Amino acid sequence: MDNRNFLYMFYGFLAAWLIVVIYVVMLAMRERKLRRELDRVRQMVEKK
Amino acid sequence: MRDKILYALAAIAAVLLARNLYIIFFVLGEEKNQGAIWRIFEFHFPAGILGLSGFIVATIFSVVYLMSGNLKYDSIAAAINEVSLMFAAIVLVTGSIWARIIWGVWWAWEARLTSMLICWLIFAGYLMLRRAIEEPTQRARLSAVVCIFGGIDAVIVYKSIEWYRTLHPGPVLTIRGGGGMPPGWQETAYWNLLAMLCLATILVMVRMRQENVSREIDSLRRAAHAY
Repeated sequence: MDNRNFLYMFYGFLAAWLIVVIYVVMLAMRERKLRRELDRVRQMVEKK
Repeated sequence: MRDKILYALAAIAAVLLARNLYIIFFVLGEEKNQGAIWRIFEFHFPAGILGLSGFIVATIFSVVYLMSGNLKYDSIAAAINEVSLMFAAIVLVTGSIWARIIWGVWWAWEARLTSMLICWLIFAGYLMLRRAIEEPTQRARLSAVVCIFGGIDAVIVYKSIEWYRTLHPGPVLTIRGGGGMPPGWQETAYWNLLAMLCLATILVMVRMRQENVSREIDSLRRAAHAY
C-alpha cells in the first residue's frame, strides 16, 4: 500500500468511527434515562 | 421480533464492514497523486448519501405530518433527522481532512461545503428547537417547518456540484454522469453504502423507539395532572 498521507487517512477513519461511537453512547444513555423516567411517571400515575 | 431485526441488521452490517475494510486496504489499487488519503472517499460518499437522503426522507414525513396531524410522522422525521445529522457530521469532518491534504486547507467557502454546513446547522437547530418546546403539537408543527427548509437545502447540496463548478470535485460516479474512478472503487463504495444503510436503519429504529417512549411519558404526565 502507498503510505503517503497515511496518517491523515487514519485521522479520517478515526474521526468517522469516533462520531458513530459517541452517538451510539449518547443513544444508550438516553435510553436508560427514558426507561427510568417512564418507570417514575408510571409509579406516579399508579399512586394517584 | 423488532429486536431480532436489529440483531440481524447488526450482523449484516458487521460482516459487510469487515469485508469492505479488507477490500479497501488490501485489494483496491492506489491513486497516483493522492496516496492513501483517497480511501476516505469510501466512507465520505456513503455517509453523504445517507445524510442527505435521510434529510429529504424526513422532510417528506414532516410534510405528511403537517397534512395529517399524526404525531407518529413527526417522531419518524425526528428519528431520521438525528441519525442523518450524525452522517452529515462524518461527511464534513472526513471531507475537511481530505481537503487538508489535497487542497492544502481544512476548509474552503465554496458552494458544496458551504451549503452542506448550512444544512448541518439547520438540522442541528431543528434538534435544539425540539428540546426547547415542551408542548408536543407545537413542537411538531414548528420543527416540521424547519425540516422543510433543511430539506430544500439538502437538495441544493446534492445538486451543487452540477450547478456550481468550484473547488469540490464534480460527479465521479457513473450513475451521475461521472467516470473518473478506477475499477473496484465505485463498487466498494456501494457495498459500504449498504453496510452503513444497515447501521443507519438500526439507529433510526432505536431512536424511533425512544420517541415512542417519550410520547408515552408525555401522555402519562398529562394523565397524572388530569386527576
